[in-house]
Amino acid sequence: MEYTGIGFRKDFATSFLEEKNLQPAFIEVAPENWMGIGGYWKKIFKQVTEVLPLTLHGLSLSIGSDDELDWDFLKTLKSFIKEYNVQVYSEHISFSKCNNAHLYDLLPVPFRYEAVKRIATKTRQVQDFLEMPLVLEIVSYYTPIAAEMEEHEFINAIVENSGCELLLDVNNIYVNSFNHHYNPYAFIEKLQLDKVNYIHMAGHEKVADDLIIDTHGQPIIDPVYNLFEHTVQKLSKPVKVLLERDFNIPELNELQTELTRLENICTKHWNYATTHA
Amino acid sequence: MPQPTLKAFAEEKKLADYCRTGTYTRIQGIVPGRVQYYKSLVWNVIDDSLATAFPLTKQLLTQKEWDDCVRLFFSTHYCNAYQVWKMPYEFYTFLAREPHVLKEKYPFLISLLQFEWKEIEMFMMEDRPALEYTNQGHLLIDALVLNPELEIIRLDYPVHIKQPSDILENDKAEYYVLIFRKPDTSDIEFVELSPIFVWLIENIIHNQHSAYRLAQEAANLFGYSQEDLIHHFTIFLSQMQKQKLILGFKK
Ligand SMILES: [Fe+2]
Repeated sequence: MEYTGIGFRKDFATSFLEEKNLQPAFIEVAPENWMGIGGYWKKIFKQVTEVLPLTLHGLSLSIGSDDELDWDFLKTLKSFIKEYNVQVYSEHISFSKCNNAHLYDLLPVPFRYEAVKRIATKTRQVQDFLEMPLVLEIVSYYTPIAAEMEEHEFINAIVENSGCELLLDVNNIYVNSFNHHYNPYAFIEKLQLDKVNYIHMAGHEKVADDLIIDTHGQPIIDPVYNLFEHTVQKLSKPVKVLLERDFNIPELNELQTELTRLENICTKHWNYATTHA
Repeated sequence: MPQPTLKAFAEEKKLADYCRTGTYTRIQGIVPGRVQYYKSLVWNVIDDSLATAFPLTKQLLTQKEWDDCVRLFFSTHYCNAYQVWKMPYEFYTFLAREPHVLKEKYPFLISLLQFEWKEIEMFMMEDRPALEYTNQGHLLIDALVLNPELEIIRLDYPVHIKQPSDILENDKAEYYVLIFRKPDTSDIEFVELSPIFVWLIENIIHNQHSAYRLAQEAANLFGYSQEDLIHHFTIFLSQMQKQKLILGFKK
């Protein structure tokens, strides 16, 4: 594997280390779950990160709320990034905290200019402090709130004003396009694709005729693979691709099958492009 | 809390408040019927984390008592931990602080929460470096190096030895429990201690005196015979050594 990694979870940590049939190029974890711990999980984490590169996908930054940044968190994060030689730190264009109360989930930010401004300011503060780019993910959402612009305008304004890079979760775009009735291909066309630095892929669950929930609990479906292949062709450079599987974890060789399928799509387009450049 | 002046954050706050309290105030520009998914996603995280952290408490309470308790906590308390595994500590201290009918119905509730939380905290806490030690030495004469990953807690009820449903009001007393993380497996184990052994361990840790000298001191302090103490200390310390609570002897 060159491009494709897996979201590493405690649920499959032991079989991952024992069975060795899941062979990602790297692993991604939520720093909040692995920072400042010791004992059993620290030993496991050390074992895994000794052999695989690590990327971080945060949950608690809450870049989209009015709260000040949590500098204690960022300090701990910065030393964690150094200790494990972390390549990428990504977060979500969402809020997970309000009035300094953590909600432990990702809520949708209003597509509004004041939110863009706040996100841009906070993103620059994070980037300056961590001395690395912040990669922000376009999240799945089930309802907009108080929007005054289109979603793609909101995303592009954040990219322009904050200097962040983008995490393109192809499944999120698919889920959003279904839930909010737009064309996912057209949506991707409207993004600043040269800013995409990372891709997520995952499965989802349809809970009603008009609603998909982004559960990360199912295999990736074919239409999302198709949208992925389209995206891969559109990107100006190869990026890391990550498979997220948070619930309903299958046998690890099933995850490996998904990784291989993703990797094959990447090599088909990116390796050809580089050798023929 | 003052209302945010900017529209974006005022609407965010309404959504956040709805997820925390269940009380809905009209949010601008939403798709009808969709915000409730956020409320249940948030609720599930809180409920799952607390149920996983406090399995004995969850089993003790009726479903309604549990739900009411969790709802009260999450709707009135501002969760401060950015790590979700630490959030249960806030639940335990919230209930310990606040007057609550459940504390009358189950007088040992706070002890139970304290005990369940401590196991998580000890399991998850950062590694503590041990002092340098050698395996050569004498348990009574040499200064001992203890496993640094241990703590002694005081409980008001015997939640560490009795099923919650069997605990009675008149079980109330002072119980001392030594909790430690085993160096090899990282498992958490508990040992009940009598006050004299609490005193012994604290003195070994803080003063690094030999057990022999501590037996002399204890004899004066507590009025036991020194010979008896030496006998009991020897048995206790060998037991501790077997359990890897004593790692070795100071270099
Ligand atoms: Fe994602």
